[in-house]
Amino acid sequence: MEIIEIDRIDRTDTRFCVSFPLEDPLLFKSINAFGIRVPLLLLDTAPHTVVTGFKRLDVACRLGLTTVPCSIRSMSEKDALLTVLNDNITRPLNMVEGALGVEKMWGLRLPGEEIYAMMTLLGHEPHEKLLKNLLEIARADRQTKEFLVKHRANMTHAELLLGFSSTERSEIIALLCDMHLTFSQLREILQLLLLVKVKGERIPFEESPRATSPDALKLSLKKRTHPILSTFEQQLKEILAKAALPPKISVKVDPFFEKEFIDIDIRARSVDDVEETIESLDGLIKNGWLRSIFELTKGTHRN
Amino acid sequence: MNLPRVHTETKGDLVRNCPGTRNHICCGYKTIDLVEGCSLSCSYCILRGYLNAPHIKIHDDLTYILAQVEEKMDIESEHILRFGTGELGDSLALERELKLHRPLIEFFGRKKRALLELKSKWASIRTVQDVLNPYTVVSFSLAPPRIIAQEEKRTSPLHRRLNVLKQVQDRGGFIGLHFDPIIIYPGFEKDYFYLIQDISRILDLKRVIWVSMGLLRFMPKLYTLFLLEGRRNLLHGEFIRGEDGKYRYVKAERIRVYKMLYELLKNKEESLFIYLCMERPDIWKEVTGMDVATTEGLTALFDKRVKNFYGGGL
Repeated sequence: MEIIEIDRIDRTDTRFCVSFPLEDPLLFKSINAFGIRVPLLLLDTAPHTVVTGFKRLDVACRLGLTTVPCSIRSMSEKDALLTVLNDNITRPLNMVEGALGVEKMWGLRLPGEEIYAMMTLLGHEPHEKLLKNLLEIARADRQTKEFLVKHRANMTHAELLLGFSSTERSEIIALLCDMHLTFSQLREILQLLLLVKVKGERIPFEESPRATSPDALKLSLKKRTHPILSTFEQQLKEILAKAALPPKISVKVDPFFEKEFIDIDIRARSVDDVEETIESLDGLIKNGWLRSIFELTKGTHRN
Repeated sequence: MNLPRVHTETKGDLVRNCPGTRNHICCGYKTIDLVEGCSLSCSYCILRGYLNAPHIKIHDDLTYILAQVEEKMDIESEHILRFGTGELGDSLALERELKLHRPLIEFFGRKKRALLELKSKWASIRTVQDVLNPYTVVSFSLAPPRIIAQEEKRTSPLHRRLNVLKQVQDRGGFIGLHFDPIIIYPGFEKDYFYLIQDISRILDLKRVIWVSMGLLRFMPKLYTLFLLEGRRNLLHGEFIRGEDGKYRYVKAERIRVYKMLYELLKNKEESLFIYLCMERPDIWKEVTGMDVATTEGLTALFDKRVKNFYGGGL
């Protein structure tokens, strides 16, 4: 190990960098308190190229350090990259880091079998389509990559997000950045947005308030993409409101109005409760509310 | 896409009941998996949902396969069984190259106990026409030319499919028609109206043994694929997740479209036997007026239809 000046390192050469994002608050605190404990690995070039230690170097610069501990070695580009991947594979790489690793291998024109072997190690199927996706992720803009990492996106999320133009993507990220999204909410919202686009409509960014909840956003998009279903939902709501059922009766309808049957749950604590419930149900039948609900589930309802 | 062919060891159950789908009525079809995979590359094809099949698998041990067919015939002798080879591949698309169907057609002709259906979008029967017999039904999936041009790019055009069906009828054979998948896109009503006009002008509808209707449905994996590919035709309609997890058009739309096509077809030929592929009992009732609640119920309708066509010949 030796100590060298940071000025002797080419910080713009990121050929072997698979860390994303570089900023690491915990590492910052650790180095601030205890210094760099693990030396960087540098290539024996002038200036030096970093093989491993991009995050440590970033922290060093932020802290205003002028020197870093390092090991300097001479090795081929391929060996350097495989060293990096080997060094990083044991920690949980996020999707973008995995994609960067694969993209670096692709950039060095390593054999397909080696790239597919790395994809398998990263938990991806060794398939051409997935390779294409990973390359796209690695080459995406910083904002997109940050979004994918922040939301712990999976391959479907990434594919969907990359299905938009960069301008649209930027708007979408702005729309979703402050929302707490579950995996399925993120997928559903991206699918709905892409569906609006595929249907040849303009994505209504201005109509979707930025601070809205994921469910409210889904609802507003569904009104555009699923007008029939939205109308049915509204009609069901109105029927149930008019029927004014007592809390001990609940009518459950398939959310897609697909099943032929509905479930009517009754909660009774006494015979009186049961009698009261039967009366309410009788009212439901006489007023035609139940018939209207069945018309919705049987797809025979007419506006 | 010219997929490589892989001749695989013929083992396991290659003659199976159509897998059907939960809470939907199946027609009780038997599938023979001669070929798994397809070279026609239709955009909506279920086979696109499987990443790990970059080749066409061929099972060519016909002795083994025919033994399984015969076993099914023996076990289920109370029904007139219908077998088909078009479940995991197209029956005719690779026939010129593989010549797997000739012995199968001859086998059904000898047995005279069940029907074989060749279901296809590839309009060529040249390699099998000399062995065709009354126990083989040649069927084509039919769609408006716009859909064939945009979503079934490597298949035969409509006029060729209709010409081949006419040739089969001219030779005394029975044919089947499949409107599956029916796709809702802007102007589809008019296109289907003209499609049915063409069909009724060219074919003898009295000698069509069955007609199926099935609106577009697909696995969730394909939904994402369609979105990414910007498949506007396929995604124009309004989809929900069915009880089987597949995407289907919303029920009210399914009823509207089935009713429209059912009436168009029945207006051309009242005696047509039209069935719905993988639909729910309430849709059957609403569209056809018939109470078909189970696969057994639909199978019985098929038995009756086939007996009407073949008399005591089956």
